[in-house]
Amino acid sequence: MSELVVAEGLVKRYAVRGGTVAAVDGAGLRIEQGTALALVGESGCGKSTTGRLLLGLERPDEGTVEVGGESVHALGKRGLRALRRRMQPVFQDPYDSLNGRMTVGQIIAEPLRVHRVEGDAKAKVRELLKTVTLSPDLAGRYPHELSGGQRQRVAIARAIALEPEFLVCDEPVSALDVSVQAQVVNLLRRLQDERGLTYLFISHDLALVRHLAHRVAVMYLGRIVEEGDTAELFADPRHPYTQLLLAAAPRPRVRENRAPLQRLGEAGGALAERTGCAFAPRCPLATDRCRTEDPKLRPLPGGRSAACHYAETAEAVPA
Amino acid sequence: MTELLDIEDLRVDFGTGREAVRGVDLRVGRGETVAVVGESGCGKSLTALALLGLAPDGARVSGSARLDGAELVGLGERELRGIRGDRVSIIFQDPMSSLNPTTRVGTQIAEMLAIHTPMRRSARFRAAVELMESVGITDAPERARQMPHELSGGMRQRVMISMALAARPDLLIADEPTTALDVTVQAQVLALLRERTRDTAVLFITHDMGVVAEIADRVAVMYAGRVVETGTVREVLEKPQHPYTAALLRSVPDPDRPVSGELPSIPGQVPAVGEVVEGCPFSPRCPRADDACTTAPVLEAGVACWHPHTDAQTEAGAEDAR
Repeated sequence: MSELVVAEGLVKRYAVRGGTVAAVDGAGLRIEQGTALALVGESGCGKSTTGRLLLGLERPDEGTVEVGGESVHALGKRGLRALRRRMQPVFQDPYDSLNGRMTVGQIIAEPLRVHRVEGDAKAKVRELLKTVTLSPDLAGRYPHELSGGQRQRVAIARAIALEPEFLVCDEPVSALDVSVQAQVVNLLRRLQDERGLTYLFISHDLALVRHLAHRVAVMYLGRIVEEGDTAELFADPRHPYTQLLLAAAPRPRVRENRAPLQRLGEAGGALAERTGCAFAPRCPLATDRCRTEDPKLRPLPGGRSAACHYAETAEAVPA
Repeated sequence: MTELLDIEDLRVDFGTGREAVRGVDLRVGRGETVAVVGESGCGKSLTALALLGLAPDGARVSGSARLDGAELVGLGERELRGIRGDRVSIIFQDPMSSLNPTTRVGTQIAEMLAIHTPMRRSARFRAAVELMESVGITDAPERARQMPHELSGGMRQRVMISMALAARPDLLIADEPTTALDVTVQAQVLALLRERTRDTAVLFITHDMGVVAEIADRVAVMYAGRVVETGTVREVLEKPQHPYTAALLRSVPDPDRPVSGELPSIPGQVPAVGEVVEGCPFSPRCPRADDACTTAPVLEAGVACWHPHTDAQTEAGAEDAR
């Protein structure tokens, strides 16, 4: 299989009072065609910015993104426009991302119109609505007349209207009720199976990620700290941050002992500069080496990689 | 022993035919944490807000809610204000909505202490710093001098918890207090709440079954303005009786137990607030619904359902789902 998406050395800095911070600070990703890579991490880790860089919605200060062999940020306007047909976003909140003054039919047909796709737009809209398991009769309705789950399906129908290869889904179900979340996740999976779509699935919800993604990349303060096959990463996380993140995820089961996880701490904001490992201040295993020497993302056995000096032996959460 | 909070047939309506809370019965004992769980529009937050006279304008509250034997429903705004923050404290999802954005955090805690304690002015700021330390805020003396926006979401929620508990309330209402927080911060805030409310009754509103598992002693599951199931946290999570509870639990993905194929989901969607459903409100989405369900079931032996799961069925159902 070939890699559809290759991002390397991405850096995106933002100006803040007294200088700049790096929201994305040397992140790289590779996504095989037809697979889903989940990008997980807590708020402020840079995962949404990374998604926007991949889509060409923002320009990186350093680094490159290639989608289908085309260099996203080296293209001119026309080239980028052509490439945009091949990659589409699905955002968290369909309230924000759908124009409330347009009907569902107009919303879904808009990309067809903008990219001057020939053919019967109305028929195409009906077909797309059916694909996302909505009634074609909804085409005349407005977003506010729909439920959250229906709105997110409309957003997905619009995203696949141009038959893209690559979807960046940024927390696509986190605004939805649990019973509806599952419906939308199942839809995304079915679309992937049927159309061979490639996904970057940005999420804070590890349980959902486990269900949807083939591979997982864990991001912490602007960098990928661990990457690997989903089942293997969940079974044996190698970076202490991944270990804590997995341990902290709530499970719908009563634990015998509700002992709190010690020393979880909280991430500060994006960093202006790095001395040593960015996770060291929160890491229960940190040594002097961690505080002075920045660990690089390095390969481990089994196609895994992790950015920790002690990845082979780290056990941050007592068993 | 009488329960600290005893809610009976509580109703909130927004005019004829627009009833959002439809006869809720709920009890919270001293030192007990009761989680009210349900999806959007089920009336869980409104139930809690209505107790304190905080339901939105136009809402009519009826029924009964007794705090330590004293009726709350029908009290005037002045009497309710005396109860809020004194005998009952409340924390919300977004601490910024409760904090003054232009006043230092420590000063805000000190102002609260001035209202609820006989403490002298000179002692209050120091006490505020101690309160912040007691909820695990590091560098509390510096943090106390910062504005709310300079604190992280987790720290702000810790500040809210310290303020809510400082008046030693009998009842704490927590309305989705960890929903906006990252999982590692959520785990810490839940641990803090658990540790600091051992002797306080807590009514904990949430949509998250994982949070329920972490915090609750007892659980009430709400659907379309009613409690459809209630029991100990173990009973409800391990042996759900109501088909809605069972289906809801199955549709929560579990990081330790991946399912192959489709995630179990519930067909259809929750009824809109105030939408009138004849009979059992879950029946349009329920695999067990039949003619009996055209009559609304009442909550009996912990469940409001004509065809509840028995133990053996629940286990079989759980097997089916995997």
